[in-house]
Amino acid sequence: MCLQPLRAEKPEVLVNAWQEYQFLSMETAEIYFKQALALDTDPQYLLEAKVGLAMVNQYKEQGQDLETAKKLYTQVLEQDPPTEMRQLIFSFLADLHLSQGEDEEALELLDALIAECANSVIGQDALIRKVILTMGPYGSEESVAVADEAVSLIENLSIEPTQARPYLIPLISSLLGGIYFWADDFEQSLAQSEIFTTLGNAETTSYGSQYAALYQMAKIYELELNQPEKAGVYYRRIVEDYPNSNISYYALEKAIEFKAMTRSEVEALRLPGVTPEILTELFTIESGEDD
Amino acid sequence: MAKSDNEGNSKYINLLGLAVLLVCYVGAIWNVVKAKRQEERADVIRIVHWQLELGVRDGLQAMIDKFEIYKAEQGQAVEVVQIPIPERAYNQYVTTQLIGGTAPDMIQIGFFPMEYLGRYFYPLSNEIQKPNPFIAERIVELSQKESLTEAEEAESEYLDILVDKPWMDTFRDGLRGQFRPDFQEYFGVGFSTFTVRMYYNKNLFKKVLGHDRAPSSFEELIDFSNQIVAYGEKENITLLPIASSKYQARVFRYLYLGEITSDLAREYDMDYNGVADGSEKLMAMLRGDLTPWNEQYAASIDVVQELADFFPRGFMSMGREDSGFAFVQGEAGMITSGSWDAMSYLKKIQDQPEESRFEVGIFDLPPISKTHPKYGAFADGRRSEAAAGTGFGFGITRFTRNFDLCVEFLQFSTTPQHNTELNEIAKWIPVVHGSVPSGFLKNFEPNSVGYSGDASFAVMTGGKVTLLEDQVYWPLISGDSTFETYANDLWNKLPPEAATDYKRMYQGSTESIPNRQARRTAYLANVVFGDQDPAARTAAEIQLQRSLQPLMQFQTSQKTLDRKMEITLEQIPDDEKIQEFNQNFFKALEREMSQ
Repeated sequence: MCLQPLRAEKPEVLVNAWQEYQFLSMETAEIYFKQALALDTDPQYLLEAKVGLAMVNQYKEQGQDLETAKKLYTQVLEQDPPTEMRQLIFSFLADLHLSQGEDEEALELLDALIAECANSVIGQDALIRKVILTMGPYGSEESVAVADEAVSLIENLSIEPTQARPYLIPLISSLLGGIYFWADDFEQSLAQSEIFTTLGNAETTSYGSQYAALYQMAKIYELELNQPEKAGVYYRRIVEDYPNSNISYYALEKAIEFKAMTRSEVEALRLPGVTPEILTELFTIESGEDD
Repeated sequence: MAKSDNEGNSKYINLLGLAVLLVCYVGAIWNVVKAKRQEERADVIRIVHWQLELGVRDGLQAMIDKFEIYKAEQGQAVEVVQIPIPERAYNQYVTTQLIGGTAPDMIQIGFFPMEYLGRYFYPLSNEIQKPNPFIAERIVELSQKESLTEAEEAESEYLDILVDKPWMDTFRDGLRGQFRPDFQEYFGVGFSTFTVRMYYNKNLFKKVLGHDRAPSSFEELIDFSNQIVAYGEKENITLLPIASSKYQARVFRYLYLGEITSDLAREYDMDYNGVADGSEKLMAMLRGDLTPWNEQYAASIDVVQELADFFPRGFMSMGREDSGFAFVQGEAGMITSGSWDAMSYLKKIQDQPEESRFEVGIFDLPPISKTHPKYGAFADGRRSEAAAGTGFGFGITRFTRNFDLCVEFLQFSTTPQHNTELNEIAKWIPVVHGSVPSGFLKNFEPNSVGYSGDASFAVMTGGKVTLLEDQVYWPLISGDSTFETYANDLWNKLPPEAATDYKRMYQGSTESIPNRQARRTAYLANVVFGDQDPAARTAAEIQLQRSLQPLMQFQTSQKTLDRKMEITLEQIPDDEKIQEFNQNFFKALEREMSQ
């Protein structure tokens, strides 16, 4: 991890420039970045403004000027920027090469980023792009090989991602889980989804993607691996953790069918509309018992 | 002479035009001056919405009045201006204001392109993860009271649970209704939720049926409707069992389609994500699993046809207001609509002469029982309302000069106490934990029991297949066509329309990638150039992750579609009709792709 050193307060015009950029209001952002470049301020901020200006030239919707972007990035690189700023520029240069059809050059940069800073989100972002770029069709051998390589890289990282600070690991797991799923490698797919649903949560990824991943795991155990008791565990997690999903009642039925929930456990959840009569029916019909 | 008359008229028209222009000019200047003066004497926030239903403006105004008093007590002069705009003009108004950079501080989200959210609205994901401070204030307020009412005791229990929770978790749906998957961000905070039920005339039921009990099954719904028809014939009066227009018929269509085919949707779900999307329904068509002759799908049509016998003649050309009018006039036994119409119906009934007023009952659309002789075998269950999310949501625009004040107003309005009060006046359903719907509205509370998804033919929202399906479906329901004509028409015309939609889906998935890439780079740069305090850095990383999620989906969506198609092609049955459908589809797709 390469953190920036503390420095003087960022000029307001530069703050405004980034805000405009986030709203994709590129013309205004460009004006602000240019104004920031004319300031007599900390040289680091001048480099930052130059990177911003290059980004506007590269990513604006219309009238992109890739040559100017490249020139500005090069100027910053020549001034020996801080490590993360340099990595960021490499990341954008990889995009630039891709947009010009120079996949080899882009891959070189992405590989360099992965080798240098896979412990940071910049390197992990590069890994995501490399996987998508090189995986070929879903279900192909090459897609699985690419995923295998990424898994081994992630396993050897020296960071310890947590729910509070997951880096981009949940997202990478989701991508790799998809590759394994479509290649019918369900064990590997489950392993990746497990990472996605334990490291990620509704706030850091999204409510919908989390319950969808749990549902997929439940279905794989139920339909592909014929392990209903394990499927029940994931259906139960949907009921308990994602009661506002539109599949929660179906998951409840399944969790009861696979004996993953007792009646008292369901009652404790006080699910809207789930009356004692409905529960009696579910526990009688689905599992043949009413505890 | 004629020439001179024309000249005179022309002069007059010119003068009139000039006068109109002058009035508009003065009006515009007056508006600007008024706004300036307003801003000089207070911090002004403007809030725009399209809810012109009875009570809603009053409910919102009650919050505004309270908030202004609260801020005044704190020594800050605040003015909140409510701007209701009719639904029809809303998109145009919002678009003009946003593009012109003159938009109000808060805008109700809807009726405008959702792409605007990323360009003109602040993401609120960080704000809603902090507790709502007004809950703690309310706890203090209640603790200072000598004794609490029963309602306050109940409220107090909820407040203790909610006080430390993130603001989003104080909403019954965790504010899911305001989450935008395309951006992986929350842009709005809302006040109400909505569900659909049947309203019925209790007085009429008593007179005709001898009781005012709501039907508990689909069979009873039909039975009660038959009795109403028979009574009308006997008494020689016009009496409708179910007041309906196309609007209401559509509600029945999708509710019963879901009830009968949601298990098919689960079957068609190839990636096991809990949803059969348009591409997966198309794959089901190519495999021959989903055809108009599929007995479950056909049964869903039968159900609506059976119900349509009790709709007024010519319901297809009637408007939603016409059917509502028939119901409030006491000419119909039942009507289906959402909770949003509750206040309007009740008010209109109340406004009638005493002898014409009647008591309204509410019931859930009756499910088809598993013992129903015709449909019982397909009855899956009602549609789940677990995801009935927070609606009536407001976003904060990037043009506001009072972002914190806007957030404060939204927080103020979404404590259990205030959310109850707003919705009590609006006669809508509150959404905050601990808020209580008024007696009548308890019937509308979302019910999580049930299923989601259905087996319609729609490949993409608003696509050509949907148009085609609509074209052939409604003549069938209104009795102008037969099922065989409908089924043959739909099946024969489907391949080229489905191919167009599939191509749009396939190519459209990549269209927004450049835009998403730009957003990704903004958040990546924010990680590097933003605040390097560990908490801020982590927040920036999480924001980056959220921005990457939809981008990644777009980048892999063509691969996903290719894989689904590859798997499907291995499963095409050796059936002449299905083979022909496939040939026509792929021929049309080839043509589409080459364009």
